[in-house]
Amino acid sequence: MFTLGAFTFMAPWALAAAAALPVVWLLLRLMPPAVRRIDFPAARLLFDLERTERTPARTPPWLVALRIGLLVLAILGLADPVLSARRGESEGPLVVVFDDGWAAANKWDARLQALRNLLERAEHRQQQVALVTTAPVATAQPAPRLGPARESFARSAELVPQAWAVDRAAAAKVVSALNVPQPASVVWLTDGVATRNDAALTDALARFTQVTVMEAGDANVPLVLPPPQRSLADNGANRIAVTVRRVIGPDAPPLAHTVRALDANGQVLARTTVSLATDARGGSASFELPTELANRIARFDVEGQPGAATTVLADARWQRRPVGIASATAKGITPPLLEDSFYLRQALEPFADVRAGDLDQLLSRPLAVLFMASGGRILETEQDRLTKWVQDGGVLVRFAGPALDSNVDPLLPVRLRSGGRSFGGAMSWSDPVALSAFPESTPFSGIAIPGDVTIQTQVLAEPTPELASKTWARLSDGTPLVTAEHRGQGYVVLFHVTATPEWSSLPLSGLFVDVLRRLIEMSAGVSGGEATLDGVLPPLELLDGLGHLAPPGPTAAPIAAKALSELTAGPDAPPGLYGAPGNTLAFNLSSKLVDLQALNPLPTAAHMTFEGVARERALKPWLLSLALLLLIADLVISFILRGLAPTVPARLARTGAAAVLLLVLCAPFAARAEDKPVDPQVKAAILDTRLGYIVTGRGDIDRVTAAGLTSLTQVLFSRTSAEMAQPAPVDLGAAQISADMLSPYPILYWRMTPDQTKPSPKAFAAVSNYLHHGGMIVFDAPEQAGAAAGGGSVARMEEFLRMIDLPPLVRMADDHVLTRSFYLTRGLPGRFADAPVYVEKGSSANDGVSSVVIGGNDWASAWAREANGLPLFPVVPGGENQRELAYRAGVNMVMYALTGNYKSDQVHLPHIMQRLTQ
Amino acid sequence: MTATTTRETSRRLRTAADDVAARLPPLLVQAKRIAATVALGSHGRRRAGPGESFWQFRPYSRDDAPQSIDWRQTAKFDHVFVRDREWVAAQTVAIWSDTSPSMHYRSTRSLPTKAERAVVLAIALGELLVDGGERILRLSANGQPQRAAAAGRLAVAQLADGLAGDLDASADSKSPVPMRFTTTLPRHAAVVMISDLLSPLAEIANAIKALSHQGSAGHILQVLDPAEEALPFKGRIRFVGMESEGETIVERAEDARAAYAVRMQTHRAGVRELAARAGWSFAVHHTDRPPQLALSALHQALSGYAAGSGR
Repeated sequence: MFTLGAFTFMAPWALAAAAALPVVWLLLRLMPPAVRRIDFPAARLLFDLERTERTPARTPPWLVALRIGLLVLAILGLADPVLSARRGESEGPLVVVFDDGWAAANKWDARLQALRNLLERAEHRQQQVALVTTAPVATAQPAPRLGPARESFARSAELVPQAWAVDRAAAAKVVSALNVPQPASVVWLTDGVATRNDAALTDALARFTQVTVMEAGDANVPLVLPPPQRSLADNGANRIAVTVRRVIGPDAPPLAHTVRALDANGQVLARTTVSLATDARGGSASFELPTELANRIARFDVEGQPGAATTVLADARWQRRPVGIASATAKGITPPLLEDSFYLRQALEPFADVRAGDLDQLLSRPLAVLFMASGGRILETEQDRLTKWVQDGGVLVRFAGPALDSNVDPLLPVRLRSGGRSFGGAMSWSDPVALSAFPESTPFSGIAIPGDVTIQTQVLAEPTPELASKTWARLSDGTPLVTAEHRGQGYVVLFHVTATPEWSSLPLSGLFVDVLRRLIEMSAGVSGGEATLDGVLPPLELLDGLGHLAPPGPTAAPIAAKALSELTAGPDAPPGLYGAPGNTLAFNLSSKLVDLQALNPLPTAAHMTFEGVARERALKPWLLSLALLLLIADLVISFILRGLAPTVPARLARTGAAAVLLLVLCAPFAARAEDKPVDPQVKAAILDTRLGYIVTGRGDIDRVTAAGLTSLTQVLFSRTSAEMAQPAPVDLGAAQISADMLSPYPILYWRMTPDQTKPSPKAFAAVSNYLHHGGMIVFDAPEQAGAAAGGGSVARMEEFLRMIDLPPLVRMADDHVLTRSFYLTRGLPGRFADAPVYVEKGSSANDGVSSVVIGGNDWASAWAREANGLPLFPVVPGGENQRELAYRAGVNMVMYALTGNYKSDQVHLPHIMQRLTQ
Repeated sequence: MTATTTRETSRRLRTAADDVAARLPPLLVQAKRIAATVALGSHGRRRAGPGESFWQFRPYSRDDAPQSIDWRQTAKFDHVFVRDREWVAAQTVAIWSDTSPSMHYRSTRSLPTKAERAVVLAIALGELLVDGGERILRLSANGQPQRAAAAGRLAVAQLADGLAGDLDASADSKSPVPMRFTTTLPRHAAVVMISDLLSPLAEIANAIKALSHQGSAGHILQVLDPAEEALPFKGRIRFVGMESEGETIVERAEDARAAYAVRMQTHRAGVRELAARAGWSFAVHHTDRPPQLALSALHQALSGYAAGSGR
């Protein structure tokens, strides 16, 4: 081997041929050029001409250079140079120890590429190689042995990260069993996570003469996503708290990762960003979701960080909370509508897993909430069991009734007075009583109370000092309707009315559903030690090392549900979903990964990152190919010199030359037209009609807006003749802001955020100018729960609008042209449908076309889709139908901006039709 | 070369020749002398003209055949009269177009080969002659007369077919065609030679001698490619003769240009001298010039010959 700069020659003796180059040069120069043959009728006249010129023509120098270059390339190619080979590597056998456990999913591609580069390099050197993987495998594999690098290369194609931890002690045994003759080198591609048996492996590796450790680097340590926690927020939504942990070494830079919640179809339901401070081992964040969306969550993962440890599967426990209804009414005797549990079941079934039965049956399986529909006392024998269940986090909900109108047992939140209290009966002067607003800080706060709910009969509580704090709902006269007491981890809740419409109209109203739902959401749910699924669970879908769910392979074994909490993920129990479809149990790897330490292997070894192994490139094929190309070129040139080339028709040549000349002449003029610089973005907007949006300064909002307008543009393209280019952002904070920058856009979308930077007066002047001269702006300030950057955006918008010269506004009428301009729609729904929309009061300016549309339906979020076509946000409350309506609203807005009052006669259509039919 | 393609070539050439001929007035070759041996022109003439049939009445002599007595005229007078007819004769023009391998040359693709141009000129000439009522005779490549002299459209068609056949037959050949003009032509026939005349002067002299020996008048048209005139080549070139006469390597063609021009001029002067000695006309035509010019030159030569030798 012979090294020259970055090149290493594998066959340097071939370079000796270069010594012959000067001789070849001389020969080439002296050799006269090839003779052109011309068949010539008058050749006879040329015979024996006097030779006037004695110097024959010579081969042109550039042709000599080309031929010498050809020879040089051929010689270099035969010397077999290799680019970026490293010097000083030992020539002995090479052992590669490759961590392929769960943590290897982190930077897997780089890891694999590094391995391949290593093997390629070993192949160039014809080293003996053994590839040792550290993760245990399900089926026994032949033990690795020293062999040609090509064998290991073939094995590397089959490598995948496993969804469990590595076993370095076993790997140490394998390495020792190899009996590698020294000197030899070893390279360990680590995953950076310490295990208990690291010492065995480091000892085994320390025996090698040359040890290299390759790792991902501090910025790319493996991440762990523990199962998120679900709780109830103040406003009734589900708060989901997520934590991201990392395995850090000495100094870890700050990081930010996005955690996503996805449903079973892979649609993203929510995402939030978790920031990890410098040197922090973890970080947390949370997001809120309505119950119906939270129940759809099938998995959590970290965006851009696939892996078994960053994927949490949500199973049936997460999605539905088991609710029991204990009923004393014998089935089949009472007519259905009079059955005491009928109304409860109707209210609960849509969003909870409802079970019915007697107490014994119900408590034999885990339960989140227990409803006791029949107001009766609880037997002494069951009291202890029930008390313990409540202490452990259960929510016991009881209803009053004829049998429960006094202190029958201790499982009541308050002490009751004997005897009920009736209003508005036939024998009473008083009217049925309505409810007063739910107090703040109770689970029911924020629920609107319909006016038609009245209470005829209730049981009353003994007044005690703590009664007020135990009361969650009260009547308009102040007497409690729902009382509750916190006991241990759980609650005991009492409704002072029956679960049937006998005593009140509450079970008939929608309020009943809302209240019950809140109760279920505040329950702790059922977690850990799950025994709903008894016995042995077959694998349903298993998680691979990259976080993908896949059907179980032939070696997957069932697991015992009871043993789940003690189980360690491994080849015999890979993480994944177990059980039967619809009744699954998730076995998550990350719940077992606590207190991880960074690996600190072999301080004496050489350390490098995966990118440190540059790929060795053999240049031989390239050089020889180039030489071959030059040879062909030389052949063609020789043919041309001998006059054998087909001649280009003269006319074609002349035309071509004229075209080139014209281009050359035109170039200065073309350049002159560019003299006055035009902002490239404005230029692009002028050349193609496109939608524009005002940059809010918040990256996530702007991305959603851009995605929304992009998919709206696609919808417009497919449904209308408005074929627009990609939407463009407009930054009002730009230094050279003027109406010229806005004027190319027919319509601008301005999403309001509460903390949006106030544009300069100059920018506001530009906006006013734009609106006065035919521009149109859609202001969107959503304040609904669930809207990103919602609260306060309306106030901010009002502040901005005061700076813009606007005519008086009016609430958009149902028959406004905006609802007629393309589709006949009702209102302009977006992600939400309830926010009012304001437009200019009809004025003579601008042909009566409103220059602003002001609303808060968060249109862009409804339009926004991911690159794969899936919607980014769910729309509420209407579902996909409402999304379609949102697109129609968008189409109408754009058509309104493009066509003005063109469709205003549509408003008069009824009158026109009436006249025509007369 | 199949019969079909030969026919195709013939048709193409005739079309081209028609095109050339249509632009000149019909050329009537004036007979230098009308000899008795010249065939009577009464047959095959398809045009009215003076002296078509009647020439004069003369008194019957004892030598006349009784069948020649014109009884109608005789009845008007006391003497017996014989009707003399006008003796109308056609000139025969023998046309020889050189199709030897050296004629298959062109310097660029935009020009026709010399052979092609020569054949077009020959057919055009034949067309004009037939239009003027003359009889034409094609001499084959080696100078042998083909068929008998004929007049009319059919003669032009036969001429074109024959020339096209010669053209095709010699297209791929490399062997020289010796000129052997030994055959007796019809007496007082005119000869038109269209060739590049690059053979050695002795050969040309023999040909001219053989033809002029029979008393034929002659016209020589030298057809040359412009490259043969200017030698516009550069660099080291091997010039290969097209009739197996050999080859030579010229180290710098641009330097050989002057010497070549001198030799070309000398050679042409020699041919001109030979023609003048035989009383023949001589003209030069280049393939990059329009063929009408060459035809005009022939026309000039034939007319001028008639005018100049109006003995």
